[in-house]
Amino acid sequence: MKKIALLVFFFILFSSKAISLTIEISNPNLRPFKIYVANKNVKDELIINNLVNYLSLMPNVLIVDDIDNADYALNYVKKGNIINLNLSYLKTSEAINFEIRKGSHDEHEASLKLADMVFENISQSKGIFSSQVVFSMNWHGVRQIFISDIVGKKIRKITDNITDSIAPKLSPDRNYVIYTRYFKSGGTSLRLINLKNLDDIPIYSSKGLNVAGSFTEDGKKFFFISYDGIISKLMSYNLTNSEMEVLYSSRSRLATPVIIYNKDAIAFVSDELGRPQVFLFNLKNKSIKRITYKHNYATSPSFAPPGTHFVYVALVNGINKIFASSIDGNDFALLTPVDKSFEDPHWSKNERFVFALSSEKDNSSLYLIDISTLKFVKMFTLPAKIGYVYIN
Amino acid sequence: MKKVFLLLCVLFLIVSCAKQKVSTQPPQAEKSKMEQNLNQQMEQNLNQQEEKKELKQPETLLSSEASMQDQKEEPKKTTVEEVSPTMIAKAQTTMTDATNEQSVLSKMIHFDFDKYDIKKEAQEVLKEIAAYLKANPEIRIIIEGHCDERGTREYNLVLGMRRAQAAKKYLVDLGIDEKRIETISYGKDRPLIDEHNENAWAKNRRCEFKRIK
Repeated sequence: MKKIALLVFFFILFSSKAISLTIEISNPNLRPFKIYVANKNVKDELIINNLVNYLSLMPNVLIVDDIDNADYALNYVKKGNIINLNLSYLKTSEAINFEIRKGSHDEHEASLKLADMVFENISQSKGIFSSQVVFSMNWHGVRQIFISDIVGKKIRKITDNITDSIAPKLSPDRNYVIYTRYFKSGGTSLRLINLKNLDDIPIYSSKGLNVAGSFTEDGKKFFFISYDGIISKLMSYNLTNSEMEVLYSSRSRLATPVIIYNKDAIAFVSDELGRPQVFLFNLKNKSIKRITYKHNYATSPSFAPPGTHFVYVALVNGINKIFASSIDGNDFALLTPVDKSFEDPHWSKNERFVFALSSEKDNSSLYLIDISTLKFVKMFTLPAKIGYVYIN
Repeated sequence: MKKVFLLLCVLFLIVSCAKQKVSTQPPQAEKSKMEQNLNQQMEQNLNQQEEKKELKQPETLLSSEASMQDQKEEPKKTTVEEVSPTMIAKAQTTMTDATNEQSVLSKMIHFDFDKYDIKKEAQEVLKEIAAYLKANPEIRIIIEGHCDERGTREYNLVLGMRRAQAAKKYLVDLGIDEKRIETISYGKDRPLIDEHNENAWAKNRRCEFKRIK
């Protein structure tokens, strides 16, 4: 049995107390992952209760009541302020041990980190619980920008503008948010918030719309659309030298620029051919290629990390439906139910899941869709219509 | 010497044009044609070097364009406030501005789904607004473009912009100075009626006219 011992120390900000984890990682790889949790009904351990709740959100993790039906057993022992968590692979008795020193103010955050560690070790793919969600929402009549964790906790309002703030995008290191702020007398400004020191600086302003797309993977550049009502421009902004470049301009409407993960292309939406469709702009040879053909209204692309597949929103009979497709269009599937509208699809970094938002009259829910089984899991619901959801 | 220089220029032009590749493997001939058109247009656009030069000076652009705005765009410290679901529920007040405008500016014009052409009924409203603006030359307005809830938020932003721009163009064609008219889009973010039916959608696909104070 191959074991690697790894010591991880968490120093939680704003707290003098810390949690330390001692983990022994084994390498079992089995799907679906059935976990038996001993003492799972113990209410006094918030970290453990949260951990079990979060793990059970994963569509490919099943919390079972019968240890004979399980692949893994999760158990914990509490000694003073130390919790010893043991995850064992029942077929071979391989084990992962976590030692948690209690006392942190942020037990919720610790649970999320633990959930990622357990998930990553049993599934051998990147966890999603450290992801952050940015979105825009009505706050007493004005749209403001908010950030939360992936289970809808720790929601923070990060703007306090007198005019609407919309379309936030989070940098890959989760330290920056670029967003659009309206002017009262027309025009918009792109602004960048540094989440560490809370600087909120103007990047670019003009009449009409300026809406940011995604950052590059190194976080040094982002793409945006500038549209004055007549000409649309697909532009890039380099954060290191403040240099802007017009990559493509057109008299048609452009929206939602996203870079695909192989770094060679930007996807964007254009109605150049009459109705909105998704196009790829090749950064190397500057050529353009249309990649959606099956619907006459295709928007909001998001790419799987290898860049071979993407999801997009198609408007079919008044309902926003999410489809997955390969770039060549050969693999193609509807991911969402036929009678419910979804938007803001995001392919997770581990390729397994797609996040999507569905809004009702007074609330919005973020869902996780398992791309292989199409199983839906609700991550959270907020009592408001949120929009422009972006996950990193 | 001149001939050599000319020859070099021609060679340089040929090489520059050759760099603009066109996508070569579209699934159908029709697609190929469309993409070629797109690429040709893109080549023309990329050749607009003046535009590029202008945009490589963000500070200049920021200061000159910010002067057109009502608010100064300056760096600031933002504030972070932790909020609860209860606070969120309480904060969901109406997003539609209550207009106290008693004039013709309180009228709206409406559009068909995913369209921005000015319909006959809208033309009548715009003529009234133009007459009002001619009679009140000190008034400047902003036209807000709005959409119904169908489609995605970011795409509806640009559709709303097109609607506002179409209304502005109509007013300018009626003799109103374009400097008196600003445009903006709220996409589907500020519906007039927050319902999911054709009646609500038809009312939400609109342009509103607000006086700039």
